[in-house]
Amino acid sequence: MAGAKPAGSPAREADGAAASAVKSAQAEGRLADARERYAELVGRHQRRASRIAFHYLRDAAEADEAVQDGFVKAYSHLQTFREEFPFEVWFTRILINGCLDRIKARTRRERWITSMPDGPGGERDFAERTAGHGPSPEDQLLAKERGRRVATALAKLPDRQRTVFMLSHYEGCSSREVGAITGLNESTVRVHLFRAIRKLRVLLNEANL
Amino acid sequence: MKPIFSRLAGGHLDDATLAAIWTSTPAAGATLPAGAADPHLASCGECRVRYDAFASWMEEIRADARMEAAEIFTPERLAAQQAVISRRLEAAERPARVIAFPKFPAGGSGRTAPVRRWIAAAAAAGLLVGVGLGSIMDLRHVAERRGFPATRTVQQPRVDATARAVVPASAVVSEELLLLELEAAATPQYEALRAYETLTPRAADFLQSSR
Repeated sequence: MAGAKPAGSPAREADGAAASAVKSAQAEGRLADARERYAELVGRHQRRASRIAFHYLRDAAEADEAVQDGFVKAYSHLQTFREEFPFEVWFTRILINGCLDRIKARTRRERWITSMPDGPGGERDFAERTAGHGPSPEDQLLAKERGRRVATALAKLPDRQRTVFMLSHYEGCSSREVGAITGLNESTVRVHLFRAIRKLRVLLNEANL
Repeated sequence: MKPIFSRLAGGHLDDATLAAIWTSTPAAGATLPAGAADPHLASCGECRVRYDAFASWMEEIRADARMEAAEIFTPERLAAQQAVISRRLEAAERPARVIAFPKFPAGGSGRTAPVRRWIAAAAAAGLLVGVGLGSIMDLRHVAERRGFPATRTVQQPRVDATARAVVPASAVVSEELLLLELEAAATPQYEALRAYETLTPRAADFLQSSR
C-alpha cells in the first residue's frame, strides 16, 4: 500500500514537528516563519491531496481549488490540530469534506444549468497533458476509457463507500487510517469497502467492462 | 467483517466471496497466501485463477487512476499550486484594506469641496429653519396682520347659526366645501385605517378654527 505511512514513521514525525512549529510561530506572531514551515507540509502532501480531490471531483481545475482551499483552511485552523493524530489524517478529512461540499454545490448547479460534455479532466486538461514515454497510445486510450467508466461507476456509489474505496484502494490507506479519517470503526470500513467493490463490479459488468 | 462465503455450483466461490476475501486481507489487495482466507481457495485451482483475475482487475483500476492523476498533476502544476497557496496565506494574514471611494472626477473640482459643503449645510439649515418656523407660526395670521388677505373669500354678512343652516348650499360654494368633498373622496375605505384617520387633523378643522 503505497500511500500509507506506518505510525511513527519518519515522514509522520516530520509532519508532527512541522505542524507544531507552525502552531508556535502563529501563536508568537512570526507569520512569515509559520508560512515557511507550512510550505514544507504542503509540499509533502499536495500530490496525494490533488489525487484525492481529482478522484472525487473529476475536474483538474476544481481539484486544484479544492486542494488550495483545504490547505488554507488547515492553516487557519491549525490551532485545533492535536499532534497525537497524524497531520495527514486530519488534513484529509478537511479535504474530503471540502470535496463533498463542492459535489453538492455542483449537483445543485447542474439542476439548473446544462453542463457541456467533456472528458474526465475537461478540455483544458486534455490540452495540458503531454505525451510521455509510457504505454502505447492504444493502451493509453483503453486505460482512459476504463478509467472514465470506473469513475462514472464510482460516482454512483454512496459517499461513504466511495470515500472508503478511494482511500483504501487508490491511496493505500489501512482500514485503521480510513477509520480515523471517516470516523468509522475498522470493521465498518471493511464492510463499506466490500460493498463498494461488489457494487462497482455490478455497475461495470452492466457497462461491459 | 464476516465474509459471506456463499458457493456456486460445485462448491466454487462466487464473485462476492472473492471480493470479501480480498478486502479481508490485512492490507486489501496484498498478495494472498494460499489458503489464508478460505481452504477452498487453496485447494481449487479454478477459484484461485478467478481470485487472481479479480485481484489483477482491482490493481488495474488503481494503476489507471494513479496514472491519470499523475498525468494531470505534473510537478509544474503542483509548483504553481503551492505558489497560489502561499499567496493566499499571505493575503489572509494581511489586514483588510479599505479602498477609498473616488471623491470627485479628476477635473480639479476638489478645490471647491469646502464651498460645496458650506452651500449644502446652509441649504439644509435653511430648510430646517423654514420647516420649524412653519410649524410654530401660523403664517395666515402674520399675513392678515400685515394687511394682506390670506385667502380670497367673499366677505359675507354675519349671520347666526340658524340662518346659516337655511342658506342654500349652492349660494355658499366655497373652498371649504370643495376641500370637504376632496377629503371625502380621498378617505380610505379600509376599516383598519379608521383609527389613523380619526387621529389625523383635517383641513376643515383648520379652516373652521381660523374663522
